[in-house]
Amino acid sequence: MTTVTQVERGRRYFGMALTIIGAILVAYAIAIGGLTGSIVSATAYVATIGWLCVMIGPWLWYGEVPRTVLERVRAEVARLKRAER
Amino acid sequence: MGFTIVNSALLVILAIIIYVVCYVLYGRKLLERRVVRADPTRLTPAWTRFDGIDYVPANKYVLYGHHFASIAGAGPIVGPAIAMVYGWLPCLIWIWFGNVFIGAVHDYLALMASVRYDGMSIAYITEKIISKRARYIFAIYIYFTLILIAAAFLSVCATVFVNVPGTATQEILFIPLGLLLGMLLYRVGLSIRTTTIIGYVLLWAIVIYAYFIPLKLPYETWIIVMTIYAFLASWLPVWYLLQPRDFIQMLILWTGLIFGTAALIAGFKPIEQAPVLTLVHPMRGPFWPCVPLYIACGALSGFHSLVSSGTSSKQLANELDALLVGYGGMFSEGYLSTIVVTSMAAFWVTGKIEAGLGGFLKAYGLALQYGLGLPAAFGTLWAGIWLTSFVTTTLDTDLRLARYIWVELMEPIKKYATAYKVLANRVVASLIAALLSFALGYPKIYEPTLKAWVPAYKVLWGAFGGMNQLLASLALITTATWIYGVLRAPRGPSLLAFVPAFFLWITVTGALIWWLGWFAPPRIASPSVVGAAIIIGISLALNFALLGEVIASIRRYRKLSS
Repeated sequence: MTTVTQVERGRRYFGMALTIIGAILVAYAIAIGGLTGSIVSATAYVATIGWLCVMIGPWLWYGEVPRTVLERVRAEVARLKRAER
Repeated sequence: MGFTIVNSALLVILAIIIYVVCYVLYGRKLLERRVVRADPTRLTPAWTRFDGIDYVPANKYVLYGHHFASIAGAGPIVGPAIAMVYGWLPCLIWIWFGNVFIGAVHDYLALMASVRYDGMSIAYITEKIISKRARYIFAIYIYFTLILIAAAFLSVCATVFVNVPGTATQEILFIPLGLLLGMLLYRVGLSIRTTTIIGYVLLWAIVIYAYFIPLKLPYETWIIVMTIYAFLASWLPVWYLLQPRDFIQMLILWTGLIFGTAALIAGFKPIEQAPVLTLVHPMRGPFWPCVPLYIACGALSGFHSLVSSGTSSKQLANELDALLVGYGGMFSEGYLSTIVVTSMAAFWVTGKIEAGLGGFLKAYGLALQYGLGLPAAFGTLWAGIWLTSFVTTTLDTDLRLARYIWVELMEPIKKYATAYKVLANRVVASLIAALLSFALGYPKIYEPTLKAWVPAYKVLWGAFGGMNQLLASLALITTATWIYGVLRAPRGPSLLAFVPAFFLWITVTGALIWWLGWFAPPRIASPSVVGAAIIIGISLALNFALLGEVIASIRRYRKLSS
């Protein structure tokens, strides 16, 4: 159980790190683009890598389903089932 | 040949009237109330099978956004832009006729049939309605179609990123924006209205930035990057990525449509130089059946049945939302194609702005300049953003659907637990589809008529279009059988689906045989063309086998009812 929690925690930290690094890389490319008038060569690769990191990071950080979404759906299903009865 | 009494305003207003009248009379009064008998009190699969990954109930406007963004890929823009070689008249007639009587009916019925079968795919529904064998035949056919779609769209996407580099900048920034909106909506708990306002403001900030700052990478690199993107986006959960991102795409689409409508009406531009009707094009062949083959999603599309029964049916919160999502979604797409054809027809300049993707990008820019006084370069960028937004959403939805179908195809090996666990794993399933699409879409193709190396989509478009339209006819035949055999609708409503389905089947089967026998393989030697030709050859055989299954099942239902 402890191991699962640690793995889960590790995954979350990794996801958080990936999201932040991705956001920094994209922000860096935006800033360089703003200064030079275009995003080319190495900066363009930095931007695309950051973009992919930002895509995958939140999944590792927050998991498949956030608790708030899960609770909202459970409450709504119970309400609809009551209404159906 | 000129046709100056017709102008841009007349065509756009005529389209709006056709769509509004048909939505109410044909969609709501006939299909929703008399044929499907939609029931707002029945729980949909989004509630009963909620899992947070694929089954997630969505607000109907958010879902409309996702559905629309997923179905409106490059098809409604690139298809009509290519088909303009046959003139604007057959394009518009086919778009309107196809929308009202085939495309929208097909999308709505596929969505509702899937909702009634627990959000399962159209292939699974085929098993329930027709036979188990039909299900597997259909599923293999669908899988091949999805691979061809992804290959063509990868190539389109890379081409636009290279030709209009500002579109690449906006694409890189839209994903973080989508994620931010998803967080605000689902985690912070902001209302949909506030989130939309924030999203719209940031969207414009991105567009203005992208207008000035292009992001440049080579064509081949973009194909690799977009394959990785599509692979990742095809298995990540929908709640934080697809739903909010697609909602932004809807804002882009509607802004583009409103700009286009306003510009074309205000511009009142007579149609002077564009050809009205060209019966035979020297390179692309006769106008019939090639117009349906090239226009593809603008009029109707089998891919829509996969989206309807793949992602949308799993997110539909109420049966009454289905008309807006399924039927309205197709009309919106047809209207988009109408704007494409009208702007190209109005701003056609022989030798400069002609049929093809580049022609549309320039024509839309000129339309905004002529009608609204905006810079033509801004209009061209917006058209590019429009196109790439939809191509990317279609790409990842396409691979997501390929994953669903792959997992369904793996069911017979379920008894071999380890093999099944590996092959049906969602990451593995997405990876296989991504690699196959990459193999077809990556190489450039030598086109002998043009004597030039062209992006793969220029040759594969007809193959993808034909497979896609044929899929539409097969899905429509399946849902027509559902109406006739399961819903027990009277003969009249059943024929509303059967007649267009068989008309389409004959047209597109002929078109695919033409592509295979005359257009591509005999003229062009390329690994992509050979791969596509093998896929089409096998798919045509599957197509005939499936038709046999359908006929047998209709006979069964007739026997049962008598």
